[in-house]
Amino acid sequence: MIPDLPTLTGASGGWMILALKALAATGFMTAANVFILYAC
Amino acid sequence: MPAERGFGYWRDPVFLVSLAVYVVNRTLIKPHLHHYSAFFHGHLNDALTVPVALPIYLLAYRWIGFRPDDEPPRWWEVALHVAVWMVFFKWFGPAILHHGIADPIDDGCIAGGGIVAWLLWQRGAPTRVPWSEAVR
Repeated sequence: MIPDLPTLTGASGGWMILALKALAATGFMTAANVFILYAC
Repeated sequence: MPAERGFGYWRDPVFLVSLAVYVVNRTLIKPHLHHYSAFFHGHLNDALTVPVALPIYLLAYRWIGFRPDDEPPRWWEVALHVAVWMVFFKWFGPAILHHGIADPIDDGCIAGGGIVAWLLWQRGAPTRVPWSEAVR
């Protein structure tokens, strides 16, 4: 049985929604890291 | 009352004090130094990475819906970001993007700043603001 990760993490939505949120969070982290590297 | 225990993100005192230290160093101290200072030009910024950057990152994750609550930064959230930043700023930046300096001492500064910030965030109530107020 596939673990219910959305319930585990408290994130709402299914696996696809969670994956999209993870992708968005990773994208933000990457962009912010590049900004810090060059601007700070 | 759980709603009153939310992390303040940009209103968190640890974040605000650390941001003030960064701004003072960048605008008032570094421009007036006549010689390179490892502390003011490097180590201080690295030590401030977690307390200044992490609350903003976590706020973004909250807006995205990836962070499920407004608890103060958890140890693994701090540790995960410290690990990512060590790799990004001290390896990927210098080696791949040819920007930044790979200094092992800086890794210690990032980690040390993260530990201190995490300890301060665990102190509780003074740093916690309801999410409903934090987004106003």
